[in-house]
Amino acid sequence: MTPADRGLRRILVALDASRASLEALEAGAAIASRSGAELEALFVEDIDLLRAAGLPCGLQISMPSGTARPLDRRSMESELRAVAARAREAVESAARASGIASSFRVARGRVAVEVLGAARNADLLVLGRVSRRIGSGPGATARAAARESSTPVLVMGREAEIEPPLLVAYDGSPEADRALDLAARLSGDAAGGLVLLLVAGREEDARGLAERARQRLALPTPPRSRWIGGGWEGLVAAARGARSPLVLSGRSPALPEILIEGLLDELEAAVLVVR
Amino acid sequence: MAPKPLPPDLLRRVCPPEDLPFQTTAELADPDGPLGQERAAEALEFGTAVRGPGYNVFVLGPPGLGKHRFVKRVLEKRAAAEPPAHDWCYLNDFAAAHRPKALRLPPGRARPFQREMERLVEDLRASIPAVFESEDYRSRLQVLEKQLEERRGAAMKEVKERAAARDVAVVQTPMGFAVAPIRAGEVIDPEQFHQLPEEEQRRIQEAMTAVQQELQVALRGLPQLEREHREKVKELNREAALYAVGHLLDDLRKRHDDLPEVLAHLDAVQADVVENVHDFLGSAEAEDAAGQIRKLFTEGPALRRYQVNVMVDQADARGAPVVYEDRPSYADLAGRIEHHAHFGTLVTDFTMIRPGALHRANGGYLVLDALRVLVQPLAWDYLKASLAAGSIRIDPPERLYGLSTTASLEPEPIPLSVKVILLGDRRLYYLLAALDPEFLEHFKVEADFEDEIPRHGNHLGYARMLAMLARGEKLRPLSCGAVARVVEEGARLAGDAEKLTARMQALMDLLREADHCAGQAGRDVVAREDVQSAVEGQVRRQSRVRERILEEIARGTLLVDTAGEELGQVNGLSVLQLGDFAFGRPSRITARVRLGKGEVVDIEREVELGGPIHSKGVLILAGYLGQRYTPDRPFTLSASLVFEQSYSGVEGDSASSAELYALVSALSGLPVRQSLAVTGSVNQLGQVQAIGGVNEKIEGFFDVCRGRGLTGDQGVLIPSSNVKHLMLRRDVVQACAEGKFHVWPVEHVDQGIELLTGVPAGMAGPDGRFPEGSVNARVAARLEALSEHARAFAMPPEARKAQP
Repeated sequence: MTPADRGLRRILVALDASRASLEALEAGAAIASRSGAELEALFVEDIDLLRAAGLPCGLQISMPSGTARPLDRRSMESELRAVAARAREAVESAARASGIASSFRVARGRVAVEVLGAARNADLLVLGRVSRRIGSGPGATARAAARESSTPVLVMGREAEIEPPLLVAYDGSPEADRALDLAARLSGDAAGGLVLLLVAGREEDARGLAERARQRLALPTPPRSRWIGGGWEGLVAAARGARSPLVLSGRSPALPEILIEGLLDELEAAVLVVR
Repeated sequence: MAPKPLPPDLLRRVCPPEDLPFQTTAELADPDGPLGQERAAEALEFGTAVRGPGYNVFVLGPPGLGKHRFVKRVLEKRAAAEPPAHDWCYLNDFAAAHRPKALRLPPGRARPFQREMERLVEDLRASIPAVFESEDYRSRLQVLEKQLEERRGAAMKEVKERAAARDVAVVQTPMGFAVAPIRAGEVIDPEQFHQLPEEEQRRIQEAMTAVQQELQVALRGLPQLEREHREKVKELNREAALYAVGHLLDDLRKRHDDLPEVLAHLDAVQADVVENVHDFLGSAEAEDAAGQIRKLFTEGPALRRYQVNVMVDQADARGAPVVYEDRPSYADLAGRIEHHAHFGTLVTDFTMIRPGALHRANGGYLVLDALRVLVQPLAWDYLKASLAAGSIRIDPPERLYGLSTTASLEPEPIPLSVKVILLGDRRLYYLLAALDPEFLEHFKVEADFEDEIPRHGNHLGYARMLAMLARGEKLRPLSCGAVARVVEEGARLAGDAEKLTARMQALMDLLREADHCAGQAGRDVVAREDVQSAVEGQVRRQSRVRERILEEIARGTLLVDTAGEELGQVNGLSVLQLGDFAFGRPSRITARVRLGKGEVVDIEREVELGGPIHSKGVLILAGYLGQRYTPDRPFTLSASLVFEQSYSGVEGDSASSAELYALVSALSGLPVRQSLAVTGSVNQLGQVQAIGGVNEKIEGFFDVCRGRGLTGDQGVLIPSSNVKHLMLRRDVVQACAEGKFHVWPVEHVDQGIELLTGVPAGMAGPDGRFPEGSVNARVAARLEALSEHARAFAMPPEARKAQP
């Protein structure tokens, strides 16, 4: 049974108290509130940090001043605890505001491994695209999750929205069907809340895809849709500049993984990858 | 020889009907110019026409002459033929906001410019956010942000790659970055690290140190990247703002391409909008407190700096401005800088500069009441300073007082070109001329109004002026008879049968009151009797004191005889002025004589109740007596003179003839007729000279006599030079015509003494002696006797005994 079939019961938000992750928390809380799911928050104490702190001659270079100061394990643990406490407060306050059940857990280990492990028991993983680190693009955790997670992953962008309409990349494959199902559930209104981006070489094939989607969603008329051609270039062009969330299948044979990471890089909007 | 009583036609010069050839004043046109004020009119014309500094006009004359009305008429006529003045605005100076710029515009251009600038701000508030929300702008901004991220990433990537080459990883911590050695992609556990050979540990530590240093260098470079990014964003914003503002301003530039100052201001506006474009990106959707406050500021003062403050708008002007400022305080002349409360603080800006009378009158004429300017603090000095500087400067009053001031504005002074016309009475003019050295520099032209105008040949002109006044006040027209009565009253107010008063205010009041009487009588035209009742009404309303005095004389409290004869006692006449109302009353003057040192004692002066002119009159008497009667002997008389029952000050010499008659009576032993009253001053030659208030004095005695019953031998002696001033009440004239009362003109005291005593005065013969039995012979004899007595007293006692 896929998450789309059984609905959303557990939503996992991976947190590090950065702005992006707090936005992810907000989005997760909103979805949980809408779908009656429980919100689970996970903070991972990065084992690499603790190890680095335990080494002799370890230095911490402060941001943004660039000044260096000695690093030790005890102060690192204390810093991580402080960040975790902030994250916990944020979760509790978001849960109170949305009136949902929530839990908060601290794990220790390698971040991506812990998050992906926890996501296995969840119906949706929500995380921020950019972590607190300097440099471009999505955080390593977001990339790893988008690439590897078998649970649907919602990667929030900077100031991205999760309000309908949702753009759904649809090529008629079973994976695309699953993505369509989840998108319909998230939007809450399959008839008006979705815009299908039909991936087909020919226009009549696109019409066929639209009809297939109508049948799958049991709608009287096909949902709104746009034919974007057979290649993924059309998808990139359609999604670029849009503020609506983009839903796509992560297992589509035609969608190279590198492209998913490229989309995460390129887009401001939220991206939901379904496997 | 005693003079004859005056005939009735000389007692009141009536206005003959043939001088007024009309039925009512409705037929009369307005007079061509000011009646009898040719000098003032010419001065005003000259003062307003001549150019040059200091050629301002002071119009002087007592209140009520109609100076205001006249000046207004002259100025409006002149101004209508002159071009309208300029419009003036204050604009924000973007380089120095505390010094607003003054802008001169052709008449009628200021308001449209103000509206255009308001519309510009409105348009900018729509067009700038639109540009900044456009896809084009957003994508360019994204590109810049992407570039920043890439550059940051590239810097970090380089560090990371070099670190990786040394088997070192850069890891992120909650506070920044740390470096750690890695093996097989994982950070080496500290325990593992300590098990490594020492050489290896040292190598790793060196590698970590090197990476840390590189990381520090890279991190220190980041602010520079961000600065460059901000500059690029700013440049982008500038470009976007310029795009939004440029075409809107181009439209304005086209409309004002004849005005370089406006174009310069528009350039400054453009530069400022571009620089402060964020002011237009108000957070309309911001709902938090900070956002709300920002919004308040954005909609409040921040965008006001593009407004235009119109100080002077001449759009509807039909000529040069003529401004009368009836409350010429400093602020009403100079304008003011207002403040308003903003978040609990008083703030101001150039939009709160308000114009004063000088701004409104600039390029035209400003009419002010001199006294009102002088009583307002700072106003007079400010007016002179503005005229001297040729500019209008607005300073907060506390700055003028030299007190510490809050930060305020210093608006750029506006060039001033104005003719100031000051109105005031003569005393004020001469005081200013004497006491203020700058006054005559700034008011070089005096327009001196006449208080009176000649009566001869002016009856019709006066009638036309009355017609104009009545029309101006929307009163009923006056009949010919009414006009004649007003003309006569005009002469009475002038106190001269040959003059007419120029006090328009008094005439205006009379016309209004006569109109009221006509209305009560149900007449459409004001008749003579309406004017008569108005005059009587005025007198009646003001007569309380006069009637009280008459009553006390009738009751015998105030002792005045109007019959019989008394030695050394004469009825003098005085005038009391109460406010606007004057009336005459008789006073008993007595003289007593005895042997003395040759002095006439004025009891009024001894007790300091007599004024200097009165004392002078009394001293002249001594001179006259000595020269007339004892030119070659010592004057050994001691006489005392007193105004009986006078309890307040006595001033003037109009009673000096009466005092002389009392002295002569006392010296001659001849009693004086108490049915007569006397007025007139006397000189050392015995000539009787003119006095003031002759009408009131005669009427004062007449009223007392009539109260006791006119006997036919009562009357008043007046100087013959006062005959031309006679404009007596009709009842007095009537009584004289019937022989019940008389007015005698007297030229010399000898004539007066004959009338008073009934005995000839007597002219000195060639031998210097007066005819036997005459008044003068008796006086001379008495003085001679006194002189003999004095000589006797001056001798030693033995010699006195030896005297026969």
